[in-house]
Amino acid sequence: MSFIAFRDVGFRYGEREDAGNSILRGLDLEIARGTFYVLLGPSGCGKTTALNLLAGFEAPRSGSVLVEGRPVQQPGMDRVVIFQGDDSLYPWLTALENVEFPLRMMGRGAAERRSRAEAWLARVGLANHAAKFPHQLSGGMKQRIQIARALVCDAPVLLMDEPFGALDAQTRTILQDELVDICAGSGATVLFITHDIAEAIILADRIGVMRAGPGSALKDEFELDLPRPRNRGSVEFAAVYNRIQRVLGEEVQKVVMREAAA
Amino acid sequence: MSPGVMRGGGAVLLFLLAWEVAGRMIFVPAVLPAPSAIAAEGWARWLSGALQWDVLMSASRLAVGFAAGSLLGAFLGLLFGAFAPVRRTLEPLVQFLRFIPPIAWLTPVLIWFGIGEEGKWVLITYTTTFMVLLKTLAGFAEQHRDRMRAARVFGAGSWETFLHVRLPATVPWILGGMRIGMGNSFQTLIVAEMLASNEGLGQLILNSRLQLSTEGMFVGIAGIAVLGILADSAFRAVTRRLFRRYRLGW
Amino acid sequence: MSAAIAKLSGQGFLHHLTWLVLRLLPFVGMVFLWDFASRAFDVPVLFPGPLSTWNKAVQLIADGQLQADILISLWRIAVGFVLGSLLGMTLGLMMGLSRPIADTLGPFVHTLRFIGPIAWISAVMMWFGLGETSKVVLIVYTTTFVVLISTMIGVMTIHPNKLRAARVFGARGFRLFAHVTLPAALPHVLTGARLAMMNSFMTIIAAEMVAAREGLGFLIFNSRQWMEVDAIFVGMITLGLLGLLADRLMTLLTRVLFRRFRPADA
Repeated sequence: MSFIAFRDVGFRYGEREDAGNSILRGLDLEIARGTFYVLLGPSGCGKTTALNLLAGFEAPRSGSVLVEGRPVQQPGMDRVVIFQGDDSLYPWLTALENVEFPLRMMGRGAAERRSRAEAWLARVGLANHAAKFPHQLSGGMKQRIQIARALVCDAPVLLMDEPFGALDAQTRTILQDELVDICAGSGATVLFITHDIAEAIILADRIGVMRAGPGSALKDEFELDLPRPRNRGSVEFAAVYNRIQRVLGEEVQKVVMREAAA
Repeated sequence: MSPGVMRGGGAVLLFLLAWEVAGRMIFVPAVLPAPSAIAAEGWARWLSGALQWDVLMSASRLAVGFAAGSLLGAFLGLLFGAFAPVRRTLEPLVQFLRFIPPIAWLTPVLIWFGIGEEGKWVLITYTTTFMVLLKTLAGFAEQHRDRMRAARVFGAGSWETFLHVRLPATVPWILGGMRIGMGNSFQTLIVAEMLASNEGLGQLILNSRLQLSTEGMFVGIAGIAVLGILADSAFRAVTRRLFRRYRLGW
Repeated sequence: MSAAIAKLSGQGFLHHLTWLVLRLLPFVGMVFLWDFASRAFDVPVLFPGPLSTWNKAVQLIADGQLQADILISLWRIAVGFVLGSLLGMTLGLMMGLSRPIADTLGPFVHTLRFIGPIAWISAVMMWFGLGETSKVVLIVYTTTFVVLISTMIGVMTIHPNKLRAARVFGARGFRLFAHVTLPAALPHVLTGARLAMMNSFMTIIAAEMVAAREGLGFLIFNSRQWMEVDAIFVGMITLGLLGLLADRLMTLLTRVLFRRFRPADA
C-alpha cells in the first residue's frame, strides 16, 4: 500500500456535474514514502486542486485521498504546505517569529522555539535577517522563510504549490538546488507542483504529467534515475526533457486551442 | 429566498415589532413614539404637502451645492495637478483647512450671506469642493511612472500626457471624492437647517421636538435616511454606468 | 573655517531649519494675504484681519475661556472616541467573522450609516439629558460606524492563505482568531480609527453649535450673536490646529505603538 494515494478522485465547484465545471475526474495517483514527486501540467489542469485535496483544504467530491491508508480529514502539521507567493506569511511577525509560528502552535517553550527557528533560518541562508519583517525582504527571501517555517515542523509530508513561480530565473535556480539539498537529508515525502519541466527534472524522483482540463487526470508518469546532483546542461537531462516535453506539449496545445476558441 | 435575506428581514421585523410594543405600552409618545404613530404623522404631512416641501428644500440645497462643488473641486484639483507651482503654494493651506469642519464655516457664512438660500448653497458648495479637491490631490499624488514613460515613447507631449494618462487616472478619485462629499454635505446641511432655516429636514427634526411632536422628529430622521440612501444609490448607479471603463469599486 | 561649518551643518541643523522655513512660508504668505484682504474689505466688524484676531485670541486665553472650551471639546471627543472604537471594533469583528451576524445586523448598519449623528441630537438629548452624556453618545455613534465598517472590511479581506497556513500549523477557533485574524485586521482598524477621529471633530462641533453652552462649537456659533467675528476666527483656527495635532498624534501613536501593523493606507 502506498504512503499517499489518490483513488478515483473527482472534484468540481458547484452542485451539479456540468460539462465544463469538473476540475478533476478519476484521478489515480500514488506516491511512495520518501519520494520527491513533481506534478506537471498545463495551466488550469487541477494540479493545485490536487494539492489542496491532499492538504485538507478541500474535500473530494468522489473517490478518496489517503495518507497511510486513512482518508485526509483536515489540514495538519503532518502535511505542511508551502504556498505560491508570499500571502501566507504574517507581515506583523519578523522572519524569526514567522518560522517560530508552528512551534508556538505546538506549545513549545520560548528557548526551544528560538533555537530551532534560528537553526533553520541559518540553513536557508537568512541568519542575518532574522529580525526583519517580510516587507523588508525580497521575494526569494520570503520563499526561504516559508521553506524554513515548513521544515521546522519536521513533517513527514511536504506540499509545495509552485513556490518558485513568482521569482526571477536566477533565484529560482539557486533555490531549486538548495531544496534538493534540504530534502535529501530529511527523508520527507514531497508533492511539488510546477509547470516548468526543467524545474521538475532537477527536483524529482518521479514526475507525473496531467492532462489538460476540465475533468483532468494523470496522463503519464516518469521515473527519474539520473544521478544527483543533476546537471542542467547534460545530454541525459536534455533527453529526459524532450521526452517529457512531447507528452506535456500535447496538453499545452489543447489549452492554447481552447483559449483561442473561447 | 436566501438565508441571509431572511435573517436580515427577520431581524428588522422583530425590531419594528419590539419598537411598536415599547412605543405603545411602555413609553409615552413624547419620549418614544411607536413606528405606526410615526408613519401616521408622516402620512399626514405628506397629505398636507409639508413633508414634500421639506424634502424638496433639503434636496434642492444639496443638489445645487453638490453640483457646484463637484465642478469647482474637480476644476481646482486639476489646476493643482497640472501646475506644480500652484499646488506647492496652496497645498499646505488646503492641508490645514481640511481640519476645520465645514459646519464651523456656517457662522461666518450666516454673517456674510444672511440666512437665505445663498448661504446654504455656499456652505454646501464649500463642503463638496473641499472633499473633491482633497481626493483629486490624492489621485494626482500617484505616480504612474510606467504609463507616463509609455506615453513618452509613443510621442505624447506634456499636455497630451496630462490629458491621456494623468487625467483618466484621476477620474476614480474625483468620483470617490464626490461620493464622500455628498455624504458630508448632507450632514452639514442638516445642521445648517437646524440652526438657520425655516424649512428642510434638519429644521423639521429640531422644530418638531420643540413643538413636542416626537413623531415629527422621527419622520425627519426617516426622511434623512431615505434621501441619503436614494442619493447614494443614484450616484453609484449613474457613475457605474457612465464610467464603466473605470471599473469603480461600487 | 567654511569647510568646518559646511561639515557641521551638513544634513543637520541648517537643512532642517531651511526645510521648516520653506514649509511655513505659504502660511506666512496667507497671513499677509488675509491682512491685505481685510484691509481692502474695510469692514473690520465683518472681516477682521490677523492682528485683531490675534488680540482676541490673547484676550480669550487671558480670560481662561479658550482653554476651557478647548478642554471640554477634547474631553467629549476623547471619551466618545475610545468607547466608539472599542464598540465598533467588536461589532466589526463579529460581523466579519460570522455570516449570520452580518446578515442580522447588516440592514441596521447600512441604514443608520446614512443618518448623521446630528440628526439624533434632539432624541439623544431627550433620552440622555442635557449634559455631557448626550454629547458623548453622539461621538460614540459616529465613531462606532466608521470603525465597524473598516474592521469588517479588514476581516473580510484577509488573504485565505494566511488562514490556511495557520490551520496547517494546528491553529483553530480562538487561537486562529487571536494569532491571525486579529493582527491581520488591525491595520484596517487603525485606518478606521483615524477616519473616525476626523468625524468626531465634525460631530462635536456641530453638537456644540446646536446644543451646548461651552466648547469650541459653542464659542464659534455663539459669537455670532455679538457679531464678534474675530472670536469666530479664533475658534476656527484653534479647531484647525487641534484637528491637525490630533491627526499627527494619531499617526505618531500608531507608528510607535503599532509598529508591526502598518496602517492599510498610511
